[in-house]
Amino acid sequence: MKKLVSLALTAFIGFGGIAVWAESADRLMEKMQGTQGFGVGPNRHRLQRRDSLPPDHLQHAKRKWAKERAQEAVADTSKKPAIVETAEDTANKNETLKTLETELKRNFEKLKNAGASPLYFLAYRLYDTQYTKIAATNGALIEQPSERVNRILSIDLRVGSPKLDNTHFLRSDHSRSPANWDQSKARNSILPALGGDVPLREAIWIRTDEAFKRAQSRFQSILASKDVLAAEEDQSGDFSLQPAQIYDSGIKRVAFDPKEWEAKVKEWSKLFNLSWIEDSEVSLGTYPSVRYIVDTDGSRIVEQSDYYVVFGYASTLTDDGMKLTLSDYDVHEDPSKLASDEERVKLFKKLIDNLKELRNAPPAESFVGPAILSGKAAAVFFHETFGHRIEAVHEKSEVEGKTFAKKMGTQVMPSFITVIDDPTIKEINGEFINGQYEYDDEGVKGQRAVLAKNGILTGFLMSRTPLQGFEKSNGHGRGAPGWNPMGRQANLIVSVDEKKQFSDQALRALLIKEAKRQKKPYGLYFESISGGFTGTSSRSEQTYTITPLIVYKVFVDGRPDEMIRGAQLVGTPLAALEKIIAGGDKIGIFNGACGRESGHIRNCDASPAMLLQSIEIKRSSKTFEKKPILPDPVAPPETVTTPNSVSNQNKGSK
Amino acid sequence: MRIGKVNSLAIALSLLLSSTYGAPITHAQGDDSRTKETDSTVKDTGSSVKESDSTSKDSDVMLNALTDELKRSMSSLKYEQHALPYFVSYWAKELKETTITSNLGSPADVEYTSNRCLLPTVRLGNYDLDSMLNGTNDQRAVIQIPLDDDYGAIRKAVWNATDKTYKFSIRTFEYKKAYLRSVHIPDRLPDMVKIDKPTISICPKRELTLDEARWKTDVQKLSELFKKYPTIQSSKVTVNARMVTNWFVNSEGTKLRYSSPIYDVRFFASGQSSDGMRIVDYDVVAARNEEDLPSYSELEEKITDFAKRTASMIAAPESKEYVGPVLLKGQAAAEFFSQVLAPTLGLAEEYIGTENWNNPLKNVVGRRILPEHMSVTDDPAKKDFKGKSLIGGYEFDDEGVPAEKVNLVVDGKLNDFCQSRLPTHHSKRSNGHSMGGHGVFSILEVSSNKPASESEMKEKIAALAKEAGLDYVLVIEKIHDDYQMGECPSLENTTRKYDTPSYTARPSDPTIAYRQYLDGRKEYVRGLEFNSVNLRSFKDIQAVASDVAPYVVEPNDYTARHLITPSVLLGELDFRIKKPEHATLPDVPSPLLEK
Repeated sequence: MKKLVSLALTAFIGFGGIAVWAESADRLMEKMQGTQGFGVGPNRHRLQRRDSLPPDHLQHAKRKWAKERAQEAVADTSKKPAIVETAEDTANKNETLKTLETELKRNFEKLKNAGASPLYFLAYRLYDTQYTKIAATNGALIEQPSERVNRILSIDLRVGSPKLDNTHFLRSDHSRSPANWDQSKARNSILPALGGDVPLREAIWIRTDEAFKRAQSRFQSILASKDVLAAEEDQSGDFSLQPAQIYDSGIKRVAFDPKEWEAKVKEWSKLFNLSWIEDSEVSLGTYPSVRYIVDTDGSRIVEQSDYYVVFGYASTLTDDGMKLTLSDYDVHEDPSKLASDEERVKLFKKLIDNLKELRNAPPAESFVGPAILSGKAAAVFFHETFGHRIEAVHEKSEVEGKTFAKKMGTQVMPSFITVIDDPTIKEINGEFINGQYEYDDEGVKGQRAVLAKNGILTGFLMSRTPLQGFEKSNGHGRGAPGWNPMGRQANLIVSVDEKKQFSDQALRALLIKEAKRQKKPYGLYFESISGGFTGTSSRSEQTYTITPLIVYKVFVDGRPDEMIRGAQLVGTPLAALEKIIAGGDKIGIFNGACGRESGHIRNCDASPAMLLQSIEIKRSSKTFEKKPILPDPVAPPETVTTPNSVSNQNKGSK
Repeated sequence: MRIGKVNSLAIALSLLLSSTYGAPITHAQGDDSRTKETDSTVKDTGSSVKESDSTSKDSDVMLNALTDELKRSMSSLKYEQHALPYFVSYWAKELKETTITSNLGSPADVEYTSNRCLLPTVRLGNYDLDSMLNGTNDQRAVIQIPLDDDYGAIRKAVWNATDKTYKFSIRTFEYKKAYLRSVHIPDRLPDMVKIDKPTISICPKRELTLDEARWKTDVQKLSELFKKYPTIQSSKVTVNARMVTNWFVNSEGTKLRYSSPIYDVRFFASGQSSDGMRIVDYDVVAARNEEDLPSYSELEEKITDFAKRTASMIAAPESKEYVGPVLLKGQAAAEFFSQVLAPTLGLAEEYIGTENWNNPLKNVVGRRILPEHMSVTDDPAKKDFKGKSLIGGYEFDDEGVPAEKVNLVVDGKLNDFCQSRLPTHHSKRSNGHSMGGHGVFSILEVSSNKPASESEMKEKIAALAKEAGLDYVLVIEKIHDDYQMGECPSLENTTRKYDTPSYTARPSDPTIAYRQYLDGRKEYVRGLEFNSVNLRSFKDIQAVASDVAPYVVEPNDYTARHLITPSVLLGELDFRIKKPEHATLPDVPSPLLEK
């Protein structure tokens, strides 16, 4: 049993990764609360969902929307985002904020000296979220729009002192501080989904009491462990106080017509209705949320953060039993700025073409040699090899591998590369990026952090938990609603010195040259990827994996490129970073969801393409499923088939 | 109750086949306006693609898609040397739900749910020996299917699900045959009993209705009632309206469509006693129609009583261990029957490869298990009791077999079991009690032909107390049940929990208990837990009151249903006390005390 627990813990601490965006952070969080594992790849656990709206309520939703729109001061019926906060929203916001403040003050006053250890800091974070998903398969709705309100309360309660408090890593039982949280849609939760005042106060009060008791006993254990265990390497404190922050983004509503989207999503899903496509879905997910933070520093922060995701995926089975899934999606804070209908159809058609080609492609074999990672692939490569390792907690905690803890000021990658993380920007070259915020989840203003300058390590992603030599947060304390924030990536941006920038064509020529030099018949080109993951704990292998969707062999003898399927890029981070030879001249953007110890959060990685002298790939696993025995009862007959699949189907149908 | 032992064959298979499969169960209330069809509908469509399906005589797209794929599967679904299925069934369910919640008067939150799922069954072999494991591990998977009445999209989903199920069945069938060759099984029962004739019943599909405006106001007002009880730390009121429409077809010709609604109001309250002990109580009122739910004033009274009682329990002194006569009143009697006796009145089946599944009553039909004046029946189709709307029953069971009333215990003697199409050594005929393929009780009714009047009960209680040397008896008014009111099979609850019926059981904790002194005083006591009770306790029933009424019970199988029973007086039960290890009271007073 103990072994099991420690295994689970290793998984919990050791692995994080990024994946394409398919679900809201809070929904992912729910799943992760259960498993404590970090999934990678398109998250679409359709069987778990129950969030749709019966057709008769569609009208209700529309009416409600129309009513709310009517209340807005600007009579703007175009698709532009409305910019004015409604009186109702203002009243709700003020009431919520007032309630949080009242309870914060009351609890802090009464609990300050109520326990054996003094309460020195208390913060409440409240997330008002409203999740909607419209999904269709083969032209029919599978999930209907609904308004699913979920409010999540998170309590950051600290006893002791900033130097040492109850959130300290408890080495005697290898545990992090548990999250103190509640969500309105939990069955026995009394957190009201709407409104403030007494009902909300009661919920906060009861949770604060729990958090306070847990903090007291945990703090005593930490003190005792200090006495009986050897000292930790990192002697930095547990928290940094800051001056009061006051911010209010206002609550703005964006025009959104569920009926219109329902029709679009259905129409698009028909594109995938082909006999050889096993499973497919097109969806629109909407994730409006408002986060309130009040704390005993005196901070009062209200920040809205909406986003909309159109997501399409399709999967097929190869004759040798490999399930291939490709997806395409885009994210924006304003649904009217998502890809146009025409572009969308093109994108999905491209996806289908790619999947068809991939299905007929030969399977990957293990390989070592040179490769180009496209901009998107390189972005995720940096996310895994570098980004996760400069998250401060992975350099502080004694259970971590601490790849970079003692590397500050030293060369960690080629000198033509600079890496920053900047949550203050919303766009790169006019393209929306996913990791923007004004304030992080600990109420610290988002800041640009230079992490590696000309290949030299210059900084870490800091939350309010200090790291030896780094006392202050740089506004990267992030977490999914309900989770304890930690230093995380927001918009990780990699740039390459001009002299090492090459056009696609030139980079390709370099790849072929390098392959020839290494006497390899081909190099690889990683065009698109679904995500990756890496282990950072000292007990885990210090490796990373990237799961490509589309990979080509680029032959040295001038043959046309050949697509391969089922390749996984694997390696060790420090070695891999050193192998970069050159970069591209265009930046690729990967908007995704990243899962780590503080839950799934939105994040963006951006990088130009990179040429690596040597990478390693391994084969991915198979499901060994065979294609259906009987022919598709409705879709038009397959036009492109492999000889094998034809004979297979004939056998079945007799 | 939790799954204790699992079919070893099932374990071997689940290791062999790494798929997730759930066991489904649900019941549905029939519709009065049902119309019977006489012919067996839908022409044979053969195996070719794109038949004239969508124009066949039924206008129900779902039924057409299911029937067409069923016909095709029966005639063409065959892989190499493996057999065609001998039996296919599809059960499609549409769930529409509106939930309105408030606590302490917070603005009511309305949520809508809407989805459809499909449970396919594909059996290879024959009625005597087929590919089903029939154990506690169901082989079928619940899949999500389109909400739109789109023939093509539904058909495609059904096709894919059937293919996967067929392939799974091939593997289980071959494994099972090999297993049987290597194991000696005396008196092996057939895998499925035949039915006399298929049932065809197409009832109108009903849409979910709910007076949202009324309930938003009412739920908010009702939840606000708890504000008057500051020792209650948590409380919530929820109204839930659910319409489940079922489509069931099988290859024997059974074809059903029926809708079954459930409306309920649920509430809970929780607080801490002075020593920190947590007191939690849940309650529910449920009915088949919105108009059968209590009026606002009735609900107000009910919730006020509930809050007062919870507050009394919070304020009550801690109980001592108790051994002696016990009056199980109303809901407590219902839970006692539901948790201890009722499981043994079904599930009399034998599963291949199972070591620890053993219904202690399976071979004692004809023996006395209750006092002679008592009888037990089960009638899933029962809709009302003394004008009260009953939930959880059905007209057709999970295998599409019409529900029958069964006399389980007659004059104290065990007479029959709830049976599905799984045979038992007692009977090889389904009596329409299948839940997920197993014979399970539905709407159970406990009765006595010698009910005691109130004064007779008092006399009996006094006599028993004296005999035990006490000046009071323990009265249990409520036994813990958290009324999850789930739906199964559904996308949320795909797997059903089973446990072997057992001679002994430990009922869940009493939530409302008091000492009834012989001088008329009544003193609430908290912190009691049952010790194990066994089936012998039912022979120890000393008196049965005349207060017969229905109560909602919810066994582990996710299906809440009414159980009809009078209060019963038992000669002796014993109780222990909860471990006195409780979080202390909050240091900060409740915000309710400040207002």
